[in-house]
Amino acid sequence: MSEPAMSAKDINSQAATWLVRANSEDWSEGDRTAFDSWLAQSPAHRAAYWRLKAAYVETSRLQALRRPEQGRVVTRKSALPFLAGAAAAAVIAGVIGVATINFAPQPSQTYSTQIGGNKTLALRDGTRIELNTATSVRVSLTKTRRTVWLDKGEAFFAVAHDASRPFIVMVAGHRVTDIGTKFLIRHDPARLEVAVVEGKVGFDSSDLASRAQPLQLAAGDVLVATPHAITVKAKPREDLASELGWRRGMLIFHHTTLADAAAEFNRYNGRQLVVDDKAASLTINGVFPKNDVPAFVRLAQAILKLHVEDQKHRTVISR
Amino acid sequence: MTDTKSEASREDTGNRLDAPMNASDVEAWFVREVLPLESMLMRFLHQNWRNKADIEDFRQEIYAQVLTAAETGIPERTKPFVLTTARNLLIDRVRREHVVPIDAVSDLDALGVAIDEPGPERNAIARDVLRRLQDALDRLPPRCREAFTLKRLEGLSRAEVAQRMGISERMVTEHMAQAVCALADMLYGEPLDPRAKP
Repeated sequence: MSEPAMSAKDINSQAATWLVRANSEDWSEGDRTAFDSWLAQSPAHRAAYWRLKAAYVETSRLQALRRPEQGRVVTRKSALPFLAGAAAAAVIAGVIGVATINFAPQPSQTYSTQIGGNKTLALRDGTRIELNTATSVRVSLTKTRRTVWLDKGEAFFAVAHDASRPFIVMVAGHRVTDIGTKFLIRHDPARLEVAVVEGKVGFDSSDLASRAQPLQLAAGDVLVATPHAITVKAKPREDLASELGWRRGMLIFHHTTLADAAAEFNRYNGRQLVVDDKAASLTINGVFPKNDVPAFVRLAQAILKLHVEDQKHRTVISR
Repeated sequence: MTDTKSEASREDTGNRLDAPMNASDVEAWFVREVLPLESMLMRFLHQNWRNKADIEDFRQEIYAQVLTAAETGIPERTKPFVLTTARNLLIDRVRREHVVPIDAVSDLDALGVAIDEPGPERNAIARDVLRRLQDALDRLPPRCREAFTLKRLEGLSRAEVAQRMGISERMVTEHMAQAVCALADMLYGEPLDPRAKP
């Protein structure tokens, strides 16, 4: 094997610069082309880039530890009493209180929510997009097509059908094509979920070479894509309803394990719940306001008789 | 002593499946299987190579070789594959440089045992990752940490970060890049339990 032309340090710092630029607002098609050819140049480039990207992706977990900032782009917070003050303050400060935004057709515009945030976008074509906690989308409307990039988080789409302008959601290298419908997409770092509430959607994966044919999903279908596999199954109505509970500010648990329930709360709240292994597999049913961690903790304590310990940024639930 | 050690033979790096892989599969495998081995790999390189200035280049070269191989077929067992690649690289280097550093290859024979042990690394990383991340963030240089926190964790745009910190946008990118490099080193390269450090 020949001596590498460039030191590991140099390659690493090039990779880091590409990574930071790729995650900036002004990443262009030209940048993408230059980057792709840099990445294709050598396995050393790919190793360095993938390693840094993996670390960068991991840091999204730290976002969950931070409390939502008041008065930033979050336009609607929960109506729960203890947040009402913050919401009122935001309105007085001149932040848009009712989340309706009209789009002019322009290259692409970014809309995002912080942890605990919730925002509804009303597009000019009649389409509605509801953004859940810690979500970021870019929207581009042109005469011939409507494109939304779901960069992270979860969004519910109620699409106004227009045969002359396909509606496409790009997410994690996959393409979800609407055929006049309502659907939900959740994009976590290692997992993508598409749930169809009404109508039909097409799913086209550019990531998995084995899946050459686009998939057709019908109402009730839930598709789950991980880096290794894509599965589709039909879900019972109440399961689908619980996944959509966040649209009403509620978390709905139906035979849900304590570990999964805690993970749901952790998506919306700065104070993180940690469930130890012994308590993790207990299952619960119930409906909770998504910010009401204390109610959930009380349930664990009083009904499941679990031990609860408050620490600095987290609450540990153990058996 | 050193003679027999330096003649330690290269080993085949193991069975591989034969289908050519696409880039995203290779990336997913690399992140899932190889990166969690990095702290062990670094420990191995430090134990077996005296000149610490070479180590980062070694790691890079080992990863490049591992990826080149994986792009034609993902190895069935990652840990022996990575360690054997590392071992072969050190042996090649010793041969090429003629001068054998006395302790350069001291542990190569003992490695034969370690290669076959299934490691707890991956699970330990997953369990600990939040604490490790927080710890890594705390240890960044202050300006890097500030830029990273504002941009990545609070979602400010680069221009907003530049304004908030009173620096150019170009400097924001540099701080961010430096932060990412340091975070990756701390997350993957360091021993899993910092308290266990010598």
